[in-house]
Amino acid sequence: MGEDAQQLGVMTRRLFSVALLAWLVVLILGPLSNPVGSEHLTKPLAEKVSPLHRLLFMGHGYRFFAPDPGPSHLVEFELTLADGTKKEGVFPDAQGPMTFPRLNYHRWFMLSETIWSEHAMTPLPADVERQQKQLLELATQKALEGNRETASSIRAEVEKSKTDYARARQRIDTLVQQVAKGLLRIHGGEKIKLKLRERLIPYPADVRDGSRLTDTRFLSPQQPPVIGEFSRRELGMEMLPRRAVARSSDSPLPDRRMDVEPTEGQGGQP
Amino acid sequence: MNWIRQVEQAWDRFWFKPRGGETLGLIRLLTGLIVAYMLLAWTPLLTTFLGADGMIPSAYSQQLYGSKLAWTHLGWIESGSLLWTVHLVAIVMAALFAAGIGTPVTGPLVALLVISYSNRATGVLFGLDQIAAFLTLYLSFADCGESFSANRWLGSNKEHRRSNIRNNVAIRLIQIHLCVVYLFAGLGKCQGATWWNGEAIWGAIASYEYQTLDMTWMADQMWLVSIATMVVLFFEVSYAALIWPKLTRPVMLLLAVPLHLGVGLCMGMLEFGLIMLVANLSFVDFLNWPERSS
Repeated sequence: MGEDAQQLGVMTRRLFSVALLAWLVVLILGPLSNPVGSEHLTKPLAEKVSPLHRLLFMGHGYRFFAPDPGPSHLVEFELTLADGTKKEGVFPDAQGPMTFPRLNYHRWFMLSETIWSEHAMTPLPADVERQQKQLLELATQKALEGNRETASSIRAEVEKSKTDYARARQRIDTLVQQVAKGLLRIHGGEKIKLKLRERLIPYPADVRDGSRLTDTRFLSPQQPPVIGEFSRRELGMEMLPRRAVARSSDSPLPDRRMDVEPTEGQGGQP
Repeated sequence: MNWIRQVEQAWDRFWFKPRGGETLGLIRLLTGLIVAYMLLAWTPLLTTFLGADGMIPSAYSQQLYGSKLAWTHLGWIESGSLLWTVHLVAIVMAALFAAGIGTPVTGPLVALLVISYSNRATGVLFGLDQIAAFLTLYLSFADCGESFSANRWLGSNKEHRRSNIRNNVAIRLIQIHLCVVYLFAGLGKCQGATWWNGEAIWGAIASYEYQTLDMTWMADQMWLVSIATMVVLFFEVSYAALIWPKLTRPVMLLLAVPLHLGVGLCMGMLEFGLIMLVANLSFVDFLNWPERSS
């Protein structure tokens, strides 16, 4: 562009104006369609400009701490070492050795939040199958009523949801496996079990009554669900040589809260 | 028709008035430093998170978005030593950009690096990465290497007060993008009950995972929590309107400082707080010296 507005011809100014307007539409379509948007307007439009969003890392919703600041999500893990002893850890862990600088602690924190949201947003296979079965029954009913167009569109929707669900499950499973692999690399161990837990926000009255933010009663559920259990072999990792096993089992965990006896299969309460 | 002409003239004044590079130079320096720090902070986690067999699957971003356009150069690197080399080059590029050296090259390169690292690290990102991405994107085409620059100290920059339209477009895009960020952050909060009952800030300060400064003493002063909650909500919802008039702009800029430093110091997100303040510099008038047309 030239040095002065007057040096730009009218046509050039108009062309740039159209480009700027188009850019502003691309920009605003991000938060207008993510995380929620109109199925009839902003979402289809955002889909059209999504190549630009993806190329330039745009299209964010910018809903910081919205709609409400909520509970934190923790990934707890239980390692079985080569000698059969078990150790537990958790991430994110503000007191852990792997969280300096603070920005890196935040990366671990966001990883646990992502794992949680991936699980929370993806229904269980049984629920998906039940829903798909209901939709297929509806399609059959529509076909019997002579409404073949609706029936075929429902069937197409079921097929698409099957593909989408399979992709989502594959994505989540791969993420959990890679996290398990990474934790085994850092801490050693032959097996790992990963669990998800929430840390609820205490009420002001709880704190006034002397509760601490770290009290176990704010952890939910009391028996956290297992999201993955793997051995090194299952993850395609090399088995540890004996000396490496001895060394890795001495390495500090992000959270050295307790050692669990080899016979106890279930993870203890933090 | 007169009204249309007036709108057209106002539009031209808004976008196509030449502007010096002083403000952009300062934004470039600070954004460059933050980006260099972000890259440097990746170093201890580089192979753990971003390696070929790292915790974040290399195709995670593309799988999540269902698009191969969520590109990353780190996804093409299998060798660990090459990854370290490329990472080192990225840190040097960000440092050069911060220093204002070779900005016509380092500017676009740093913008691409921020996008690429963000696409590779999808799953461990937060607001900092999003703000850094749009700031570097707009700085990449601006003439921002002349002020607050090593060139100036080295005496190789004789013409440091060059105004042009590119700089104005970059500043305007940063300003508008920032307004969009605040507006949707505020509108999103309007859906939450705790932002209406005045307890939302409690939810932030009583989150153990975020806490760096213990502010839970505010449990005894919930009226203070309510005031802070309302101020944050008011600030974010009204920013896009009140930042433009000269009368209210200083108030909004002054409110931004404790808000973002508070988030930074109490919730351990200092980099995020700082980069939001850097983006707010785009509205600081005393550094913006639009050329008075002759």
